Amino acid sequence: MKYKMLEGTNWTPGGEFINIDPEVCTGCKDCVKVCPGGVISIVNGKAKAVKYENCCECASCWFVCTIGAIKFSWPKGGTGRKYRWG
Amino acid sequence: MSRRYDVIVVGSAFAGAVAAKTAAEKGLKVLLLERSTEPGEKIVSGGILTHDAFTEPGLEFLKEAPLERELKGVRWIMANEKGESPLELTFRSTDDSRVGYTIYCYDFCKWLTQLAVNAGAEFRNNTTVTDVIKEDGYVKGVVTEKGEKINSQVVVAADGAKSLIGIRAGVRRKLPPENVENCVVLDFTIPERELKRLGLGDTFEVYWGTLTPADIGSYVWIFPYRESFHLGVGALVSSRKSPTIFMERFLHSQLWKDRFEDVAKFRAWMWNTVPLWSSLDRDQKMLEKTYGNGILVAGDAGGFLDSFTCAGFYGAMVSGMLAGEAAAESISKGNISEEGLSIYEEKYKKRLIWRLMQRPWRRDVIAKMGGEKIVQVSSTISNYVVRSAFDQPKPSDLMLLISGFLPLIRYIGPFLYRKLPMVFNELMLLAGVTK
Repeated sequence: MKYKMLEGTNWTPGGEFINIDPEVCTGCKDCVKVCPGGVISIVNGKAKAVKYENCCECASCWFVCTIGAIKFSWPKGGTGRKYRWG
Repeated sequence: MSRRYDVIVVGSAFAGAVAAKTAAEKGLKVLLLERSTEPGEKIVSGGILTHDAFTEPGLEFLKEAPLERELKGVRWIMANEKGESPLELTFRSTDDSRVGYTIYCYDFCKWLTQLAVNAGAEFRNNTTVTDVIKEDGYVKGVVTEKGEKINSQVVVAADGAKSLIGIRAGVRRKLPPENVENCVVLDFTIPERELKRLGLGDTFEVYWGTLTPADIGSYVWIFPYRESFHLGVGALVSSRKSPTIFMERFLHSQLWKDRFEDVAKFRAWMWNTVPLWSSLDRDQKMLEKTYGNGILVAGDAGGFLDSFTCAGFYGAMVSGMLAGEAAAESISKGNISEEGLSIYEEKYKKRLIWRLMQRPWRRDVIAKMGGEKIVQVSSTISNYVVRSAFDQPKPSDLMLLISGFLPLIRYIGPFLYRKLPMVFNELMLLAGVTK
């Protein structure tokens, strides 16, 4: 790809704010498919947020998970993704 | 002295900053909370502040706003998946007052927040609200990530499409995935003369056709700024596809290569989700509440958007303003219960936003036009007609474009007879030709 994904934005780590309950997760991969940043991977048959540095806090994973395995909150104040040209 | 505010506003963007400004101007003690360092850093612009906002009573201060480019028309471009031989149709506003402006969220929200601070609101950044304080069925304040509890009489939740505060307070539910669109936006710089050469001096572009599949609610848009432009594409979350797939397809299309690749300089890549739904069902009944005991929900969080275009800036600002007014009036009457705060609903139902919220939902229009697959097929046929018939497409080629749909008329005929005037009317409204 000629243009680099998420270039031109700032990111600071803000903890783990996408919590996936392995008891509820069925490993259907819907959250993996909708995430533009590839934040979520399947680990041992269950979804897990592993690549927070690519997260834009869009919560697509949370919206798509209608069985309620994903708990979405915000990263800590002042952290996470920031846009100047949004 | 306890740390008690009259109003706590969560989120300092289009809805929140205006709510805080309005409430502070009414003499209330207001706290405006923002999870980022600067306001407007967390949101991605769909792009256009419509003329509705400038004519809305109470939003006159927008005349001083940091605006980017005045837009007077829209160009619809239909192209096949390779982006070859696109068909163009341009609609232009015939009324000089019916124009829109592109804005950058960062500049705009910073300006709005400054207005709120000037009006007397206390602004606190880097503060994430994680929960609400709930006592006796009333929302009585918020809890921050540090565990700090801040009390208030009324909380205005202006926290965007996810509406986490509204959900916490038990006022709203999470939007279903078919009502949320994830939009990828790329920002490019470009010299102004190039924008004008490309016909983007006062016109924005929307791309339809198989280049951007309608069955997942997707289309590409280009919104010109002062010396830059936004290129965006969305995909419904329920499609279980990432919009980056369609962005990459567009960036590899002949259309992009011919028109933009040599002149545009890439600056930023971002994305965020927007609601596609104003929470109204087909009988215009509100399915989700916008207020409860001690809480008002404004902006995207409350579904204040134009259901057809999904434009939310105007709805956010007007709902924020009305939330500020409603909070002030209920506090002065001493009734901050759900019933006391219902004046919020009375207020927004009198405004233009209510009519915009009632407009047919874009995805509904597509679905009713004979189903998503049929739209896909008809755009393929149209593209075929376009490609085989024209080298230099002109607006008058519309008739041939329509003929591309003719084979499908027996499927969608009954619908067309009833609904086409409505669809056409919506397109005209969108283009700003009629009012």
